[in-house]
Amino acid sequence: MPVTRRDLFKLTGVTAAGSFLGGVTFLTGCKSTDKLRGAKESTTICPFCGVGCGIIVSSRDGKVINAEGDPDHPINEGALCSKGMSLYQIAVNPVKRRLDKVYYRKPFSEEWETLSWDDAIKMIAQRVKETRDRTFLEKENGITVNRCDGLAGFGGAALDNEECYAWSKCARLLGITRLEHQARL
Amino acid sequence: MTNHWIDIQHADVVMIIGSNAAENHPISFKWVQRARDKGGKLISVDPRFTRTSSLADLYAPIRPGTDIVFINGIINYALQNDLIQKEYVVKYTNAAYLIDPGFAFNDGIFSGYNPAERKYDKKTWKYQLDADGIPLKDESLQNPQCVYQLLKKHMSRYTPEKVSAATGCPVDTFKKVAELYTSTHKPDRVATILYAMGATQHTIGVQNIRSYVILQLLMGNIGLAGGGINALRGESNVQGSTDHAILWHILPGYLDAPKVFGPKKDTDLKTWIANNTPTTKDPMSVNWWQNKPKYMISLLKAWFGDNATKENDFGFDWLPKASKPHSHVHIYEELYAGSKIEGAILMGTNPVVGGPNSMKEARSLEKLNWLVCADLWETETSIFWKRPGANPKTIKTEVFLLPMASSVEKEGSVSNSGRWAQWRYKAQNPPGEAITDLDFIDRLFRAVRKLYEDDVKAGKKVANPDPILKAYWNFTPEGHHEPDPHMVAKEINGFEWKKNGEHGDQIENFTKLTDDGKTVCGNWLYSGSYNEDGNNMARRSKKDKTRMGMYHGWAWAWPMNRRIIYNRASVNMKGEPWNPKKPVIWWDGDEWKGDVPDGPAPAGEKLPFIMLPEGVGRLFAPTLNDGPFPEHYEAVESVTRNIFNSQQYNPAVSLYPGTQGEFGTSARFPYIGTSYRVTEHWQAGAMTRNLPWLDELVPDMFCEISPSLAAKKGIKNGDKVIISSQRGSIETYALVTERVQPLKVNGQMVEMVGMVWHFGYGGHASGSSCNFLTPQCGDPNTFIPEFKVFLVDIRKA
Amino acid sequence: MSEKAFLVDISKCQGCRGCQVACKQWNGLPGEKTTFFGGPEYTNPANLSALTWNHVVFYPLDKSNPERPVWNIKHTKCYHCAEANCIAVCPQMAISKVDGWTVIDQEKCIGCGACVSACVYKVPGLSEINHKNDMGQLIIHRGKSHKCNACTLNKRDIPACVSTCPSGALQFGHRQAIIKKALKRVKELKKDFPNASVYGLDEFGGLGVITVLRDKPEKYGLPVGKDAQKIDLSQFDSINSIYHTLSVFTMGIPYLQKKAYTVAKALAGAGKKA
Repeated sequence: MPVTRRDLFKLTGVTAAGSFLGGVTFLTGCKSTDKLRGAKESTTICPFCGVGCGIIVSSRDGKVINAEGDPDHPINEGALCSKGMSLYQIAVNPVKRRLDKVYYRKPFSEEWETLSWDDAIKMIAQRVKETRDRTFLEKENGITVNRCDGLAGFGGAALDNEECYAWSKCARLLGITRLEHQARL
Repeated sequence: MTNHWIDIQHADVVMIIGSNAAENHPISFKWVQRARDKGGKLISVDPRFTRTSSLADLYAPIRPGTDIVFINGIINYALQNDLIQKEYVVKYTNAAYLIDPGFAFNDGIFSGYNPAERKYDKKTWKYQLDADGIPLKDESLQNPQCVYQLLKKHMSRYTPEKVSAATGCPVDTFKKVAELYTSTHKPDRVATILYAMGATQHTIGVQNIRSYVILQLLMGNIGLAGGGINALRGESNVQGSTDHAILWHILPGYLDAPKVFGPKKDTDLKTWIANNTPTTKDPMSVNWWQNKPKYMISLLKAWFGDNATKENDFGFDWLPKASKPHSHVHIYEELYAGSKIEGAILMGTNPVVGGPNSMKEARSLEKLNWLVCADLWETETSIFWKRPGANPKTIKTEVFLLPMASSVEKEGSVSNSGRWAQWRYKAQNPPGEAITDLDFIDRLFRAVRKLYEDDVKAGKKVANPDPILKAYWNFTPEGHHEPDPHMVAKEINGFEWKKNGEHGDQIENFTKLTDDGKTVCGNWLYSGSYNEDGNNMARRSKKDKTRMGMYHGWAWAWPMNRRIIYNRASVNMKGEPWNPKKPVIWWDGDEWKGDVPDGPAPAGEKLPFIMLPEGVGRLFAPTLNDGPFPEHYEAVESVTRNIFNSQQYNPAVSLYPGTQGEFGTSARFPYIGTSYRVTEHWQAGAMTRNLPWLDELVPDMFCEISPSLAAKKGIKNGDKVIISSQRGSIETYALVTERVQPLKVNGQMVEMVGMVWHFGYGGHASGSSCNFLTPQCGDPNTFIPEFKVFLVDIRKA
Repeated sequence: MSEKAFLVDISKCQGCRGCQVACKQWNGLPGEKTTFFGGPEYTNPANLSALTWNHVVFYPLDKSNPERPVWNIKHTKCYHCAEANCIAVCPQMAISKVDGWTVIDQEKCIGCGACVSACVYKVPGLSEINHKNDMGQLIIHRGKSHKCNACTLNKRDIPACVSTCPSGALQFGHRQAIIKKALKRVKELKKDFPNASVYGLDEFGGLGVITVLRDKPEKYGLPVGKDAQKIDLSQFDSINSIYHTLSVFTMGIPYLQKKAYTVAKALAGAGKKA
């Protein structure tokens, strides 16, 4: 449910003051086009460091066409560093390195193969369960511990809060105590 | 951060130490520059002359690993010259508190040390109490057992000359910094400290931060606009991921994860509450953590719903309990040595580039039966089985590499360093078959639960299925196939629990949480983020009633939408701002004005540091594992000896048994190695080394060395060099620069090799990994590895 | 001359290079394949080119005052000279002023390289590749000259490099206001840096980019005085007159036009020597 910036203006009563442009002429080699005409705008927060800069992402036909600093955002006031300015290349990666399939590597194999999501989830769930069944400890020295020593979890500093919370909860429900992420490094 | 980014503009002095903010948090400099435009001064303390230093009014070079020396030196300067905010120190810190007569400090060792275990028994690190159990104080600060006198004595050894000898910073430069910084002891002058991993990644990391805290408390700078202690966090949501406890030792909201080792074992809910809920008899103390049981029980309700009842301790038994520490290095050491660990799930992380002694981490992964990597990219970690030098045919590990949505391909919130939770919207669909991390977590949990349900139904023997089968897991709206981040956000915020999973109203904020099972709350700190007013994290109002840049209507900050925490320390006991020109809050006779105050009690009735049972800031910290005062120790690998005491390295650091033989000596590795980042890349690099605009700017790994070291080693700018440590060696480019200079330390010139650590063998732009060289040893409190000081040698390739 | 101008205040630049990427993002330019390193320091690519319309130059650390070492970091792009050499020498009149900014029309450009050699700031570059943006538009033409156009072509209120600058090192506004700001800033800087200067007031009839420097312009390799005046066109007059004679036979085919220019250049050169 993307909210466009204009919707936000409506919601918050903010007017389109500031320096950001609207539908102006896009010209290259003196030919006129319009880079942002008809684009839908949504706001996001930069995925890199912890400053939390606001970014306006413009998309057309469901595809990102521009991403730059949000001039209304009180922290960055439209500014972005080289990393933040590169968000566009994550969304539209020119070297085609974004993963778009599930990859799987068999034991002792030298290469990737691909899997469907259904197969992947089934296989991973089976492995989680088998490992858990093999290595789960209900009691230790007479104390209830309900701990699974065979599973470990890492990472999450780039996930959304809702994902972090779900991951933190999921891991504990599976019995994982070996749960760590980038904050330790 | 106690404060927030925009607030930096209010500082009269900004000291950036253990951080290269212009480089790694570039937009912070909008506000640092704003402070400078208003006449503020910037001090940059750094081993290298960095992009931050390039805009500093005062640059002080120090040898990596000597922050405590430098800051203790400033503290000593302040105490010797009586440049402290006296009223603040007396009323708002434990300066006046009397310490147990058994407390002692001798030649680098505090009382209670057990050398065999390299651990302290902290029983003498405590206050003297009166008959009512309230700490004894001497507000004249004359009693030799009071914290102020003990601190003064402790710091007296950190003279400018000794500071210079240990850090390499010229005496004059040090004195200029001390003079400028301590000018902020006046109530109407404020300084802020910005720090990051340059401070934390040491075996004395926590004590580095402690030294900053003590200095800021003495200056009366905490709680004020333009002040505070500000940790600059390096990932867009590492604040949130920490708040939500993707860490072995905590549960969401910094609730202690139950554990069954050490003197206090959390055998059931009652013992957990007794072990982990601080108490105080001081009527002036708010002691906010006394509410911990409410937060824990509301969390248990969020995790087990109707199955969490008073009779069954709200399902406390179903939480897993650790029997030993499980920090990052602990887990990898365990894995490497051979353990029960069979499988691991990695969510957007790349330890083969980012972990200490990372080639060893890659070898550790070979011990796994299966590995799941959920990521946007193929990372070095996900292809560890075909890393250079490895033979895939001998590696048993099954690997699943799952395609994930990027930040603009999903909806949800992230929390910045200033604790602002901000909502992000979806702008396009993820590529191909990529899905969101939330979707993956949800699918995985439900699939595992289904397997257990089926086995239990079929009467098969399985490991205790209750934690899974009794869980409340409800993130997908009826009739939908995908989880909804709004449902998760609502659970995090909390709601009233009616029977059978029926939701009542959203909880207004955490003051409404109860310990009777009637409220559900996934993370008390975020209670208020998504209440009956709606999704407060998505707010975009630019109204700023305080005119201090707090923007209470923009997004939402934890806790309670408070923009500056410990803000009650910004006013005197009458509720008047110490600095009336830049007020944070003030008492108007009936109520608090300004920022959301730290607790509603009227002025003068409560002490400001509400999260500590004392209610005051700790100049003397009785709880840390390596001492109540910061003392200098060398890094585990160091080029020189410790001139402050005869302990070479932190006596509370215990090296991991599996790292024997992994440490080098300065005879073989004579130079200081240190690691850092550049603006143009991010962390372990997968997110930036695949973006050609950034690869253009910094296409490969490099090290930085001084012209003198380069001349000595016959290295020219741009040459390839080989850098080695006891752990391994790498080949990279050398940038020979005047920005790196040898420092005169204990009478000898010491040289440094600085390395950027973003690179690895994978990705669109690849390069050597600095972390092949770094050691697996860490701080005794946090276990954060010592990435910032280690020993290396360098030669021309 | 444009009534607007850029301000580049190097005393405020932190070298984050947001500007370098912002230009590529807005204009759809590709990343250049670089190696370590262009230098000096972090500078990369080493030079401006058809694909890189602005870059940040990191100078070596200046330790002439050991009390206060200075690391100069400078955003560099087309200066948009009022009396631009590139406009003067272009045989096709492919370069012109649009709203006062110097702009190359690739439809007219024949890739002769006259502008490349005439620019003392080494700004324009001939592209070695064709490059389409993600909307499929050909924006970089192989063999033709490209450079900064001050975002007049991909039009926006504030040029992309300026809107992304966090620290006030890049600003944009009315030229007179920008000059006033620059002079005020230099006055402040003189307290710490007695040689601080403003660059761009008079060079080439006045530049569209006003630069605040901590030292004299020469220290940054910037041309001043005679070196910053409009090129002596007599040589180009003869090249261009020969070229125009020859170009009658090129039927407007760019390849032949380029050849004709090469021949004209050679002939004019021979004539001069004789």
